[in-house]
Parts: sequence; C-alpha cells; structure tokens
Amino acid sequence: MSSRDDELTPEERTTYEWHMWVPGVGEEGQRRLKGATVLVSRVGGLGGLAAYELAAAGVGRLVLAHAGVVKPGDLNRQILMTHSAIGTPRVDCAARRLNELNPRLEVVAVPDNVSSANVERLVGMADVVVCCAPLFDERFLMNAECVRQGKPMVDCAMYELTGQVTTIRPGRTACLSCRVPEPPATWKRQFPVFGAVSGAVGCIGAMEAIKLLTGVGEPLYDRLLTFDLRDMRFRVVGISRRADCPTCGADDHAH
Amino acid sequence: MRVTVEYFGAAREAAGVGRETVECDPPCSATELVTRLARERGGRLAHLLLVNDRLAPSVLIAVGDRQATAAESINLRDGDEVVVIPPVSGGAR
Repeated sequence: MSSRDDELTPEERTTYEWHMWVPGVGEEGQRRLKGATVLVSRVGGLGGLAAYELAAAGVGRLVLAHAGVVKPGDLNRQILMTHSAIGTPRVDCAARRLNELNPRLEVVAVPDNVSSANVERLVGMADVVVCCAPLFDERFLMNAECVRQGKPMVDCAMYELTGQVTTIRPGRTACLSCRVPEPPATWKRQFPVFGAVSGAVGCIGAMEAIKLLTGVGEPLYDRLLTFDLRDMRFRVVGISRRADCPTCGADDHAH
Repeated sequence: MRVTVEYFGAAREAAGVGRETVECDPPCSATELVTRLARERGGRLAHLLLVNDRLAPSVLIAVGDRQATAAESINLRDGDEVVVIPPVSGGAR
C-alpha cells in the first residue's frame, strides 16, 4: 500500500461512516482504501463503473488508462462520458467526473491503452489492478505483468447480456492464461452490449478490489462468476491453475 | 440418462437456447457430451466451441460448480448440470 498519510479527516469519517459500519471494515478498512492505488485499464462500460464505485468508496488514487476521444457510440454504456465531451479525450472526461464525485481522489489519467510500452510502469504503480480491457491481447498482457510483479488482478468481461468476473492472486490462484490458454479465434472487436450489463460487471469488479484492499470477504479466487441477465442465471464455477500454464505455471511468483 | 446443459455468453445464441435437457448413454464425460452436441448441431455452435473438430481449449466446461477438463474427465450421472462458458471480453473500445 501507499505510504501517504492515510489518517481519515473528520469530513472523510462523515462521508464513509456508512462503509465503516460494515463488519470487518471499520476505520482501519477505510484507511486502507484511502492509502491504496488501483489501476483501472479502460474506463468504458466496465471500467467506468468500476472506477466510479472505487472513487465513491474512497480509494485514494486511481490510475486510468484509456486512449481515444469520446464518441456518440460510447454514450450507451460509458457513463463517465458526457455528451458535451464528445471529441475530447476519454480519460480527461472520466477524471473530471470522478473528481466531481470525490474531490479528494487523486487521478492519474493516462491517455493511452495498456501496451507493452507502459504495462510495467502502470502495474507497478498499483496495489490492485482491475482489468476491463475489451481485447484479449491487452488482458493477456496485463495478466502476465501482474503475475510477474505479484499484483492481484480482478478480471472483468462481458458480452451481450452476460458477464464474467474472476480475481487472480498470482502464483496462488488460476490466472487468465490458465483458463484461456490461447486467444479465442472467434472473438470480435465489436459486440452487442447493454450499459446495465457492463455496469453490473464493473460494480462487481469494484467490490472485488475493495475486498482485496480491506481484507473483507472472500475474493473470487479460483472461481469464475458467470451470469446471464436475460433470465437471471448466476453461476460460480471452480477453476484450476494449470501446471503447464505458460504465464504462471513454471515459476513460483507466490506473494 | 438425462442431463441439463446450460449455455452462457455467445454459446447461448449459438445453441438457440439458454438451457436444455439432453439424453446421453453412459459412460459419457461432460467434455465428450459438449463435443458431441457441437458436432451434431454444427453451424455457429460448432464454430464457437470446436477447433479442428475438438473442443477449443478456451471454452470452460463445468459439471455444476466443478470445472471439467478433458484431462480429468468425470463421467456424468443422471440429473447432472453441464455448464458451457466460452471466454468473453471487454466493455470499452
């Protein structure tokens, strides 16, 4: 965790008392959130909600990585983006909206997507990574770097009316490559999506990050949550590390 | 025996149903059953689930809440629930 002064101010105590009533959180849990840095890769339909909930939860610093400018087609689901911001950088709009909610939040707005050029630095800044990237290449890159640095990663994904979330503790629990050993040939860059679905996934991802930071509850280690909101089917399926996983199998990165 | 098969993500659309009950003769593992269904149905379901006529390694198959891999195949029992979960990704472009 960060070494910044994470004592709560009287104002923060008032704002967050609703959290501190949760058994196991208390003032100590809130201090941990304040002292934490979370990397959210992309702040669209999934990551935007994850970032919003983490800002609301009182996380001290968010690193947001997302390239490009706000487009009309973003506004069905990317609720950190606004109509008046069309044509301006997405991360700037996201940072502004997050600071409207929580002016104490420090936002590091990176106007690039996670890539091999920046992944080591960005993951290195974070205590927890929330991966909300739409493309498998980017998710694999984040997963491999989190394994290398021993950083916990919450992996969020959605398609149409379905969502998936799992949480990875490198070297201890199944990583993304254990479950998806190669990029699926059938995945398309554009896919059907409803904002309420990506938002639900993002909120669950934020809660996983909050659990990791506060120590409350049981993260989705070695478990994949999958759901279909079309008929409200929810399943939590056990998943296993693979001894021959090219990313986490050969080496012991236990932390 | 009769088992229930549940499809998530793109598999639901490809199968045309979210959930169905199918007949199979024991001994039959979950991965064998799903491979057979994909081959029989062909079309989009086969395209999504099969690579070179075999189950794609990125498709997660479970029996109830337990992962079922081809390597540790568990024989199905009457009334089991087989879950088919293709990988999905993303929420932003």
